[in-house]
Amino acid sequence: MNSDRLGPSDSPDARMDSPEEPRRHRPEELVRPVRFLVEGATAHGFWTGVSRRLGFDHWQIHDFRGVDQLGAYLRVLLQAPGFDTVVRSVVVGRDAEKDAHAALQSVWEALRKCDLPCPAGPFEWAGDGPLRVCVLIWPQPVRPNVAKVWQGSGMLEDMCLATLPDSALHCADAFLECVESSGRRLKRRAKSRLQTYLAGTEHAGLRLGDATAAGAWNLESPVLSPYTALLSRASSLAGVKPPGTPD
Amino acid sequence: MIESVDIQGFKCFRRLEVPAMTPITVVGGRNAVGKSALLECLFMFFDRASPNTTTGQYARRGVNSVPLTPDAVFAPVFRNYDLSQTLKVSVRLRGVVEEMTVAFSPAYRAATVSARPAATGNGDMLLPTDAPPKSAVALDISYSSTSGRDDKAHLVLRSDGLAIAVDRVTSDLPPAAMLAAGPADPNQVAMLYGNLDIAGKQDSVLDIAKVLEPRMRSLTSVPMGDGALMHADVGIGRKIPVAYVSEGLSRLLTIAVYMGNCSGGVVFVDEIENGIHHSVLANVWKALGRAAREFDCQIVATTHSYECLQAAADGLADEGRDGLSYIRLDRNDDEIVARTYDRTLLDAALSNGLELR
Repeated sequence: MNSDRLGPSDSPDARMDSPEEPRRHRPEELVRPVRFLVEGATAHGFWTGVSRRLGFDHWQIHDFRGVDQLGAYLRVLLQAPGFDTVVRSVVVGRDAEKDAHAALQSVWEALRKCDLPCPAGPFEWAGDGPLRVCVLIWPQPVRPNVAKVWQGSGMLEDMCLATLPDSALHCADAFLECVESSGRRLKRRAKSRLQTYLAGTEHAGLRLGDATAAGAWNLESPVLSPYTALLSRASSLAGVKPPGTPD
Repeated sequence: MIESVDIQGFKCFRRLEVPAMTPITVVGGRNAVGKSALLECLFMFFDRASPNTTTGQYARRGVNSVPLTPDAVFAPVFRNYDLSQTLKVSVRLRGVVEEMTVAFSPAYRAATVSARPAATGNGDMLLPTDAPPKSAVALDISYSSTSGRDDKAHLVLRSDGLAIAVDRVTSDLPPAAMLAAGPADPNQVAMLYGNLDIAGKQDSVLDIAKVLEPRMRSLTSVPMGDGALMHADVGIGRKIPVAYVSEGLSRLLTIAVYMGNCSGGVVFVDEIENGIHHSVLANVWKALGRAAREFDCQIVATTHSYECLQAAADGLADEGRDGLSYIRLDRNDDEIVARTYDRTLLDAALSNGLELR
């Protein structure tokens, strides 16, 4: 257990005024074979919550904060103590935002600058040596046969809400339509939608990561299964038995 | 300033290359990866004209006496104690590459024969013309450089101790000093402070000391017994020995005094954070950065402390991208390798809270 990064709390006290990422008291050591790099504290909280709910303890999740800082982080990671001997898989994940292909390209660029194996697309592995690399974009983009590029857009919040039945969101959507019809423009609609939904549940006031750990989303949903399957595969590649697999 | 170094066959290093060093270079790594050995090797490169160039290393590690045998005096500086190997150190100094080669010579013959002192009461010296030069053992030390240097000296092990015999020397190497993790010789520090006092540089040292002791009004080298001792006026009505004020102050003062006496050279400091509270480390580094510029003196220091690295990054933020670098030594099986962090990488590691020691 890497004690320097506290996980999200199930306690109702862990409300939005608590920091998503607690202050680090000592430097983080590389102790797990799968290094999962995500962009932003929200994604860090979400995937930490997922790993706790699913019992995955082979991921070491890190927030690289912004894609413009990914290259520098990868360079530091490559020469961190233990990287050569401990880390077997590096998975980089980020929001599709407005353009999934552009999001993918930004990660490719950082990987290439560090001479890391560069996968051909999301959910694909690159590297035939001891280190494998994969890129995840969420929500999951598609690549139609006729198109040259990956298509899709959206944020992590969209993916979380997509794990719920449509009926669960009627009230939240109705509220936001009411707000917008009054002339107010929602700058971050996905976040507003998610928090509006949570406000009507027992998870009211929790940040996304804490809500995830508290069980706000259906982690068995087909929307998430490609991601959890890939992270299980990352464990297998690293020689770790994923939870739930027979002995 | 040392810009890069390539070491072969020194102590634990089969081959160690450090491609980039800066005016302030911090060295880290786990125990027994050669942090202190790197400093010792570089200091030996500068200290090659001293008969204590090998034994001084042992003394700084607490071994104060060794038998006068090649195995005890020479072998420890060679990889695996193997005296049949050659030790090479190549250093780029301000664009000029200088190489030192050290090899054991089991049958060294002195080129000259020393006169023996005459018996008491007789002023004449006695020259043993009937005896050929005796063979002895020695380390052959040679130097070459891209600027044309071609020096040769021998560290000779005799029955009465060590001596340096010089064939050719055009030595104009920059000054260097090595500070071990423990306390330095207070008499030496006081003497060196006297040099700075004479040269009118005492205020620079005082400014550095004030980082740890803001009450400090003045510093004085006071004769005490056979030597001298640094005294400080901290406003209590009389001056008191610096060592009695605080261990950290004594440590910082020592570093500053040696830097002031190594203008144009290098000061090597083992475990630089020893005795200094973490809350003032950033200010200490800031002061040392200022001193490095003022005295034109490079600092190469080891640390085990993450706080010390963070403080160096914070305190030296104004020194520019080329002012600070960090080198971590790693052991890969039987090899020691250096991982270099330039300022950008160091900042990235620290801001991400990633281990780098």
